[in-house]
Amino acid sequence: MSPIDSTGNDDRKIHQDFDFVDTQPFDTDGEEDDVCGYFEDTVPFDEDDDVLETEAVDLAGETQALDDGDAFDDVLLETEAVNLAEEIQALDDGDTQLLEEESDSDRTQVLETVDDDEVSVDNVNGEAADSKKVESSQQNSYGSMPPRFNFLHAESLRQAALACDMDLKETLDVTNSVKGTSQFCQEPLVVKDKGESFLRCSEKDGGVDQENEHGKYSVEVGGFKSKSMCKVANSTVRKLFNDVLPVETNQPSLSSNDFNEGDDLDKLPIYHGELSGLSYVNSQEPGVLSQDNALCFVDRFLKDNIMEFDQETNCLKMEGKSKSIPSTKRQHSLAKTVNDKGKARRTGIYDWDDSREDEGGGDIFLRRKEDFFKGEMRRPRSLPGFQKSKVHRLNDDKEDKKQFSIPNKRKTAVHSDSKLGMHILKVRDNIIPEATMLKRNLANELDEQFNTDCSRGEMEPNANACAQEMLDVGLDTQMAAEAMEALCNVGDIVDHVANNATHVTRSGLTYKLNNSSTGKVGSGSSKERSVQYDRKRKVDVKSKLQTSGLSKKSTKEVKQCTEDNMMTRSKRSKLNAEGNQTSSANENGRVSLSPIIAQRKSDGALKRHQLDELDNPDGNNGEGGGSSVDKRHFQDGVWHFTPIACRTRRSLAVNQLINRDIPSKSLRGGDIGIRSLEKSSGIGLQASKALNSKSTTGSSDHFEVDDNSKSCQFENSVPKASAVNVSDDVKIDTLDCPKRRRSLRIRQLSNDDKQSETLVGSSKPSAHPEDIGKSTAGKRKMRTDSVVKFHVNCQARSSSYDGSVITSVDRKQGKISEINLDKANPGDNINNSEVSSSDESPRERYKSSDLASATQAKCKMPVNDASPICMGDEYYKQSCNRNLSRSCKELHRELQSLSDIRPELLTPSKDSRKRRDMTDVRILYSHHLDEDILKHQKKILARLGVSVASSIADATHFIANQFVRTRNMVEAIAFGKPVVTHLWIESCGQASCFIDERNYILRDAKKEKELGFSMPVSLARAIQHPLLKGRRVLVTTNTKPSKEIVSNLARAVQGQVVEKVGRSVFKGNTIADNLLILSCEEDYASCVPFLEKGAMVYSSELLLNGIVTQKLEYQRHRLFADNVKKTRSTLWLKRDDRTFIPVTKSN
Amino acid sequence: VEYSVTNNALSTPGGVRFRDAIGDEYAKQTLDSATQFIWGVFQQNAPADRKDIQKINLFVEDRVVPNGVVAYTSKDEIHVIAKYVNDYGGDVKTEITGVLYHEMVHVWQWNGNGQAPSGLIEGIADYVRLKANYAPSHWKKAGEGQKWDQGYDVTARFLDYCNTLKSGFVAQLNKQMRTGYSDQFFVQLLGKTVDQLWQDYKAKYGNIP
Repeated sequence: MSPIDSTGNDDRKIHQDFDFVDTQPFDTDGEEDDVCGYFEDTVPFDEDDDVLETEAVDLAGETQALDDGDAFDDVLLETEAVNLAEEIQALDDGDTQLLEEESDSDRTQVLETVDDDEVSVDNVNGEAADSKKVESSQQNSYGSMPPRFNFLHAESLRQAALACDMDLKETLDVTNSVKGTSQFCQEPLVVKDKGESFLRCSEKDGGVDQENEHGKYSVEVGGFKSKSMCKVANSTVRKLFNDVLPVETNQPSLSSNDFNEGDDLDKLPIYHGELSGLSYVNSQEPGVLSQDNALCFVDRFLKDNIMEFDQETNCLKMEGKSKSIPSTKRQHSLAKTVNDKGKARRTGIYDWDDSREDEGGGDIFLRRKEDFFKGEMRRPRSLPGFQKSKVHRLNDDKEDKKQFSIPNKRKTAVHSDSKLGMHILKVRDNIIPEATMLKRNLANELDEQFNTDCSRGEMEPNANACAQEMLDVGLDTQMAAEAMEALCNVGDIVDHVANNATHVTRSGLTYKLNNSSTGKVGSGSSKERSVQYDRKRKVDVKSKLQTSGLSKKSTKEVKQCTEDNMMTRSKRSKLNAEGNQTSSANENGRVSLSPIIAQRKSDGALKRHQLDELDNPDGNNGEGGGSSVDKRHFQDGVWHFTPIACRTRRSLAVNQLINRDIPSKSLRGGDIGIRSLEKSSGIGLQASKALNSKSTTGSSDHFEVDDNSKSCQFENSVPKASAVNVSDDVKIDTLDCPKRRRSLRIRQLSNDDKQSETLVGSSKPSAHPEDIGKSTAGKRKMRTDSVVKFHVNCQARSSSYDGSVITSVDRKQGKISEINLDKANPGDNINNSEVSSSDESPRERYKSSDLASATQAKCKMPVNDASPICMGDEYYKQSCNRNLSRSCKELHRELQSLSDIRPELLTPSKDSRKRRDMTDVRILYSHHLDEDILKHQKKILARLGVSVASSIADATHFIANQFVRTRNMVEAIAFGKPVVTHLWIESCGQASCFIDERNYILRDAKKEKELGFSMPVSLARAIQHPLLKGRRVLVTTNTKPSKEIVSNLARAVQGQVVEKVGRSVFKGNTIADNLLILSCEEDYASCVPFLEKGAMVYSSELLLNGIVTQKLEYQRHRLFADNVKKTRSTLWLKRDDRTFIPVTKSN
Repeated sequence: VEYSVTNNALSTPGGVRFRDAIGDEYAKQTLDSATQFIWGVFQQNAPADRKDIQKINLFVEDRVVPNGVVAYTSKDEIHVIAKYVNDYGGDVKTEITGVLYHEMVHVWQWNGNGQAPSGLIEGIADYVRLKANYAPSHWKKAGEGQKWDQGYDVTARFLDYCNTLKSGFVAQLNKQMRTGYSDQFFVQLLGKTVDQLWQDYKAKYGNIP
């Protein structure tokens, strides 16, 4: 609410406006003031000024010279003047009739578009019926369609009557302003809102209307004021249309072709005709919702006299209320523009016919040119979503033109088209504040004046507190807030009687909302946000909370309507809605009939528009505009992603309606809704990071296509169904089939075009959750294809981040698991970053090119450049996945080959070992065995085919029953051959095959303890670490037991026996360390040369005992220790004469 | 019971001597005589008391075996070493007949399921040969030997002494050894431990070494 200045300022403004209007009807300054006033001030003084503007426009129209079509307009204007007097009389008669006529006029507006061909016929009937009274014409409206056209004129007459009465309202407003308090200034606004709400209530429930009517006269006064507000928008739109004409006429004058002027005039009527039909659809839909909300509040009012609201709720509602007034204007302005467009279309038709006659035979070139321009205009505007918001966009364009002074007009046209997509989201979101507004109105009415003052005083500090709290709010917290609001709604449900199934469904949904919000709390809280985004998020929080509340309440209210006695009226409202959708179906039929060439060009134009949409925020952000500009941009940013959640929840509500009576299906629908909520929140997160990202635009575009396809599906079902009941599940199931088929066609069209492939592909992941759960053969194929791409993204991400091996995906599976859905959100981020990087180069090229001379061909080039890059990336990802899958297969093969090799290796080794041991076994028996045992053993060997060895060197096993340190025993240990008992042979004989000998190793506890060894250990060490490996051994002649035996033993332990010692050994001062000298006492003389060199000489016992114990004890077995004495400088040896003699060093 | 004799060593001197000095027919007749005699010593009159063997094969073959091996038995096959036949210096026919009796015992005797000492097994075989009066002259006499399970002729003499203490001792011992073996069998049959019996046996003959 902008505060009002002093009374003097207001009077001055009024004076200025009057002067401009009277003297200069088309002066630019006058228009500028009007536009500023529209946005900056919402006081009722402007209404009076706009009324005067309307009159001026009409006068201007009369002054221009026009063709026969224009003459027809003059006739209409005269008719209105005549009827004006009658309308005034009707007002004098009574207020009741006025309200009833209003409700009838709504139906007239709705049904008008059903039969476009009969418009001219209605005109004739309308004129003939003017003389009749209002009451008689009201009766005719129930019987046939032609009389309904009368009320179109009647409504325009009422507008004139209201204008006359404005003088009284103005007086009241002036009186309020004199008092000068803000409290009193706000009251009129509140009164207006109340009036609107009760007028809508009266449309549904006559009884309630009667009571309210008698009780409060001021309500009607408020209603009149709100209508005058609508008039303001109407007049503004009319000006814009008139302004467009001069702009277009200037262009063809350059070419100096007179026929072009006629063509330009024809363009405008066709454009208006198409737009008027769609505006009905938009105007009716929010009305139905608001009426349902009002009905709910009336019921609550009747049951509970006093209702209390939390302070937080009041804060939200206060802020929400501030938006409701502008949205109210817009909605009514759409309804009013219908009148203008209806007239314009009739004029257009006649003009076109006249132009044909003027051309005579017709020029071939001119006809082609004409078709070309018509196709161009029809295609970009034929998309239903874009056409709805055309009116509002024009207003914004006018403002941009004046404030930023863009020199080139053609650029303005480009901008107006490119912003259509963004503005559609606004229109959708305008529905939300109404719920808050209606709540607020009832609350204020119930409270006393004193309570009102107290609550206002308290609200201001609370609002500040809420603002501070919201600075820290993140997206995840928003989800939690929505869940809490759902819980509040559950509380409200208790007040009303509801089906058990419905209750179960809602509680389930609430539970899932909590789960989803809990899961996301941690991820978002750690992220940093800029101040700018914080502001947007505040608005976003409010709108989202309202969205969730609205969607649930609308669902609940629809069900209550079916339960109440109001069944008949709800059916009528639905039939009206179907009528609207039917009209849009007709227009879609035109789309399909357009030629292929025009279709391609229009697609190119669509891409160009989206690129322009990306450019505008950058340009505007660079300039430091006024506060109003900043606000508008903040709103644009917020609208950009908020309604996505809103639309998603509506589809959720629709699913609940369809599956209401089937619990299992409804639960599944709830799952779909939850997933889509998560998806939409993810999209919002992306949008908040990069508002200019292309994927966001793509996703919004995709939603538009989806919504339009749904409405088309519903329209197709109208001819098949004679009556539609929400409770009748069978029919609803039947109706679903045509819907799905149509959506397939639309998507295929979009997929066929290569230029749109990139955008559609990027938006598919976000849209797919909505389609999950539907079972149709055709749709299953599409889902399968999308699933493949879906998995590709998941695989790429997991391979790049986790480094884990990816298993091949089963591409035939029809469902996507929740895990994949969780992975999809990060995948979207990856795609988003890639798309944004690829967008930079097209944007730069677009900027660098001359915008004034830009054509469709040049605009297409950036799109073409972007698509190969995106395709290349996708192809690269797929190739990476293929390589990974191949490496997995190779790894798997290697593992298989390894597993195959092992049994092959193991089996032959066992078999070969068995056969080798049996055939190669050679036994050597100890001589200490009993002869009888030996005799028996040999018989066994004969039977087994085992031979007896002659020496231990040739034998594989040595059989002995006790340890006796014989030559064979020591040699057996030296070689590490198994020393076993005769029982081993017994066991082999019984088994008739080889048996492992380790269990039969000879153990002689007594001897082992005496000598200090362990037979198994010694045998093992002898094999692993030969005793004299790497050493040279010299054995003297008389060594015991014999030189031959000792030498053989030395060789057995891998010693290198030296037979003779060359002189080289004695050249050095010392003997080599690796030489081991084994000798005996008798060979002292032979050892003297070694002793002189300081070498040590050892007994043969060193080796014999060492083999058994596997340890060499040098000190214990040293020889000639007493014969050697060593001092510091000399070495002394004892000779035969028993005296030590110093040894002289030879070297 | 069916018998067959196969001489695979006719290309060697031993094989030729077996053919000339003994002959297949005499060998086959000897196998049957030995079987009947063994069943009598073991008192296996009923087929249920015997091993289920329907055919016994005798092979004379030339192969390398450990020194001192004359013949060996593997289940129902008896192998006689040709080289031994050739090298024997005395009455080869009587010697081979005794050898066949010894080997045939191995075909029919129970072995205590593999638990009996090998000396006892061989001792029982020589005990039957002893009773058939085919003991060679180089065997040890009664009272000689170091221990009761030394095997062959030493154990055979000891078992002959035990049989004098109680007639049919060897038959009963063999019957019990059908399912297993334990030194307690001597206690059960003769009332004394085997070591005590051995000492009594040695004392009877003057404790000769």
